[in-house]
Amino acid sequence: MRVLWARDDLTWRLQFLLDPEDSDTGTCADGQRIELRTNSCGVRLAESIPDPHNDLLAVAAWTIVAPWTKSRVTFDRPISARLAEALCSGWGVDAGPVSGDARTGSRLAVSYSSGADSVAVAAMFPEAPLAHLQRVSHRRVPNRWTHYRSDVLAGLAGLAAKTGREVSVVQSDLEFVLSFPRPGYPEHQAVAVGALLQADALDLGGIAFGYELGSRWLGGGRYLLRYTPENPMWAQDGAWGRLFAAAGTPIVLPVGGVSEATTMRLSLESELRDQVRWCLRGTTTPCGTCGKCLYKELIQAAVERRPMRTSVTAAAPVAKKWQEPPPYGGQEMIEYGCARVPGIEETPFARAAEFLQATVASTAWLDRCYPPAIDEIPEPWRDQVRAYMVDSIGLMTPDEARQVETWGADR
Amino acid sequence: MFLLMVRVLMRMVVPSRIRRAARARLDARYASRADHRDALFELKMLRREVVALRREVDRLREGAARSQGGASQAGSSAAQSSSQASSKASPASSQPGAKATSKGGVVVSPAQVARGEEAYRLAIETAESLDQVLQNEVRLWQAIDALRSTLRQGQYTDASR
Repeated sequence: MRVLWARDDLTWRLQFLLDPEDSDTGTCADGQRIELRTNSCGVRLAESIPDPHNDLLAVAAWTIVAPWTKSRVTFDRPISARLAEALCSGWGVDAGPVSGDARTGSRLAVSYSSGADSVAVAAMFPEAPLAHLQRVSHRRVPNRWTHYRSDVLAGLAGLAAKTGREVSVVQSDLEFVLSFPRPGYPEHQAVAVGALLQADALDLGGIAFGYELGSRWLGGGRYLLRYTPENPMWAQDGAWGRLFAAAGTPIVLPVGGVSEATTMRLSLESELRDQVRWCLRGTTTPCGTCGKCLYKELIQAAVERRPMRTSVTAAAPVAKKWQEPPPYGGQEMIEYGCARVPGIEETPFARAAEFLQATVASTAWLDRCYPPAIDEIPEPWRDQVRAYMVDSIGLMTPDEARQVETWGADR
Repeated sequence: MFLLMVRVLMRMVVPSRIRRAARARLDARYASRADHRDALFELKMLRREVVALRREVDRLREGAARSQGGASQAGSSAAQSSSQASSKASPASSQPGAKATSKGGVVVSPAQVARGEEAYRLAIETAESLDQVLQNEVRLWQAIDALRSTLRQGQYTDASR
């Protein structure tokens, strides 16, 4: 793979050219098959800043081209030996040319989507700048996905600035370089391209993401029911963890030890609560009818110990998977919700509740923090996260931590 | 009904002091008079809005019915044949002589439905074929670059003479 960056004022344009051994079908770090549609995209910054360190440009490009690179990657600007080593050890690719020193920084930024998880992270770090990436149309690809209202989410992120937060909204069409399964990030870390390109200007020494207990330790959506300490996307010593650390912007998961119920509670108690939005489709309000609204309403109803407020019925297509037996993606939160929502037998989750037979006691561990998630946080921010978790959430007991570590083992 | 009975019973047997205390408790648990008043006011405003919107819908419906008169005759035969060619067209559009249907309050003629479906089919197929073109472009450059590098290494010098 050959990678070329060109700058035109606020816009960085990326072009990548396949080497003879490369293929337009590849896999991303979580195993999903990814097909290439086109080999160019752009990233538009909110304001004019000096060129970032070459390692930052290289990592930003790698989050986009990694799935289709077989054995070597050639950047148009030399990278540090430390970054080349991380690419070699993580993916087995020869990366170059190599020249110059690695970079460092000191501040933490939050990769901010406006959703509950990243709002919870923002609430934990009131001084941290927020970096939002807004999907915009690609000039070569007809946009057939206009129901995804990235403009609304960007607007909400912009409103976060009213609370005195430092917010930058960076626009990119990079999600359209994929043709399969649909437009999206080629690698999950591509959401951070805006933060990476601004890392020198903001003096960043770390990038915080909203990935929570389920995504980090319980396999997330794609590995169902499996304890994943070695998670290739988010483990500190995984390929991506080492690459981001080599660029001087280690991955930080402040809410990696707590469940979506906790992040939802934190976000709704934060000063950003009016800007929280997990629905990708609604305009002035969440749509209330998509699968994500249904899932998050279950969690919110459980957190607030009230019946669900939804017009979705068990017969609706978005509720279909909850009529079938488990396993489910994010099953821990379905168990949590089914155990707590009054009148669950009247909701689209009635069948799931019957299958799961979860109780408040069997899901109590999801209200506490998993301690190894704190140990994994890079040193400059570890104590702050530990203090926060101990004071406002509480740590799991060894028995509760065992629930995480044996997740899915008995099924 | 139940509350009414309770109230009658209370008036008969319960001293006024206790009655007041009980009422205060109930008031604290349920919406206050002021809240009721506000809610009623809101309701009245909403009712007015709904009436206005309904009037607007009727007006639009009339406008759509008037403008559709000539168009449906001109377009129907062409749309009919193309909708049969399209595998994705819904059965409703291919029923000959189907009457105008109401979609979300707007009256749409079968010809308009067929044209809409045809445009949708075309848009999808165009986007899908453009995907192929874009992918082929990437593959083509990959092949050209591979050829260039072998040429640079002088492997094809005999063949090129």
